[in-house]
Amino acid sequence: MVRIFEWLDSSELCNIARVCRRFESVIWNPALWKIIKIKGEENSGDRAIKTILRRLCGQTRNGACPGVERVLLADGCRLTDKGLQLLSRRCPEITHLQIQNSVTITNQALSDLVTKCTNLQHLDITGCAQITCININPGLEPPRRLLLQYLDLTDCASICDAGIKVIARNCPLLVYLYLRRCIQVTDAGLKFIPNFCIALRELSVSDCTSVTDFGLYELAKLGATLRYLSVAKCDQVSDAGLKVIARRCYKLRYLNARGCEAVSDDSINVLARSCPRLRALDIGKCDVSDAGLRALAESCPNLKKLSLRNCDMITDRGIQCIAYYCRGLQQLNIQDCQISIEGYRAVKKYCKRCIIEHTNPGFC
Amino acid sequence: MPTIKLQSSDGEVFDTDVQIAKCSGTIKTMLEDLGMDEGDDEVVPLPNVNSAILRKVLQWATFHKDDPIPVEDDDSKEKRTDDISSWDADFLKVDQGTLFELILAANYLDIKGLLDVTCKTVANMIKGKTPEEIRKTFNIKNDFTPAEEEQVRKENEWCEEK
Repeated sequence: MVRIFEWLDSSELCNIARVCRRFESVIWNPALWKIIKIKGEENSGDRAIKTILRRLCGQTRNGACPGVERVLLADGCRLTDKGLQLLSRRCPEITHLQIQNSVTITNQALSDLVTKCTNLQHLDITGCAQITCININPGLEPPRRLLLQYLDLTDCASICDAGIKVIARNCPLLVYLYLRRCIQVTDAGLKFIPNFCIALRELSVSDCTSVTDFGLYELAKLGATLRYLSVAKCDQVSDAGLKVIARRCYKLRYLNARGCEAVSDDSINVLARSCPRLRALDIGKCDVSDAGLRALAESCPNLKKLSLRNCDMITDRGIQCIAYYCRGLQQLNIQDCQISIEGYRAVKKYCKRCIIEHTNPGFC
Repeated sequence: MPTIKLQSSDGEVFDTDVQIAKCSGTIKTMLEDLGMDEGDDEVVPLPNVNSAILRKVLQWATFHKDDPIPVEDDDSKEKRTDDISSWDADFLKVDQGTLFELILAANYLDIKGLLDVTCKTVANMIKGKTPEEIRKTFNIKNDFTPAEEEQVRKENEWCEEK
């Protein structure tokens, strides 16, 4: 029976508890609660967590549920400090936690969590707008670092440079870091990331509009480990910054510079020559022409995804070039570009598997 | 191709390709432990599986014999139940009794692929149903007293469908 129930998620388990006594007793097998997933706008995360943990740990004050490995709240289901503290106390072995948009969560509750749950590797606190920092409670001997490898701070709008410094210092093992729309973060904060997080492979600072080329000079110190970078809509970023990134981070596979309107063929040429492993590139709205596309086509044969949305200088010539050299292309965005049916057909002809997004009603 | 003989609980003997029989962890271990060699005329008894079910199991194993070996307990992958291949779905269009016997056989014989796909099929029969519908589907009697039922309902209220 447990083998069957393993395929059900948390809310389905609670639902079938009501079928009969046998079901009710089987579903509270800890093996079925390694992953607790709660979703839904109307759900109170606190209440759900409290109910589940009470059944799993029993009524004792200090009972723990060491079997719980992942707790994922989604779709509007929120947690407060109280719920988070309960979780920290009861689930010491937790490795993954996702508490998106829990806007009332404070630094203190988060500190308790990372202090108690020493195995935490994956933390997603997207939209927890009060958080300014992730720190370990003081007084621990010897002082300890966090094991976090994945940290999503998207929309944590209160985080500023000082917070980034503490977070980077506390999380030396970070591999994935997302700071989308952390609007207070500037170049001064980014400086700390390569100093402490030397294993970082993926970084997004999209919509961090204070970031400039000087920030990119710092990030370039991440060097060959960096595979994924998004500076989308950081409109102060220009060729100078991207060129340094391209030269130092030559193993880049993904780059998003959408909306960086100061980026031109100049940096795209360097990017093409330096980063032949590039697989996905978004240069929407950039100042790129056919010459840049030609350089990309000739040097980056592995391109799978390319977005040129709103690049009004490119023509069929550039697209033909890409189509001819990058036959593995799977996605191409030419919305709001001056591309005629000729360019469209070239892609269809050479890139058999490519999905073309466009805004021309004449293409079919 | 080397074969071995498998004997079901009701005495029927199945001449089976060794490679196919070995997709069962239980049989594989048995062969290794007993040091049975191909060509031996020994019969492997399977007292927990009857011939009808064993025939089904072997049919499944024959179709899936070239499948890649599943990665050991990949926890990071999300558990999906909507990825049953059409062949498997057709194969499992059987009555509930047979389906549950297949689960027991797959469990006993330690055939992970078959166990997963049969359990997924049952899980899909549970998903999205109210407790009453589940009782109906599987012919389960509601043995809660009204008071208990109310308590369980309250306890699990948080998950109620919006």
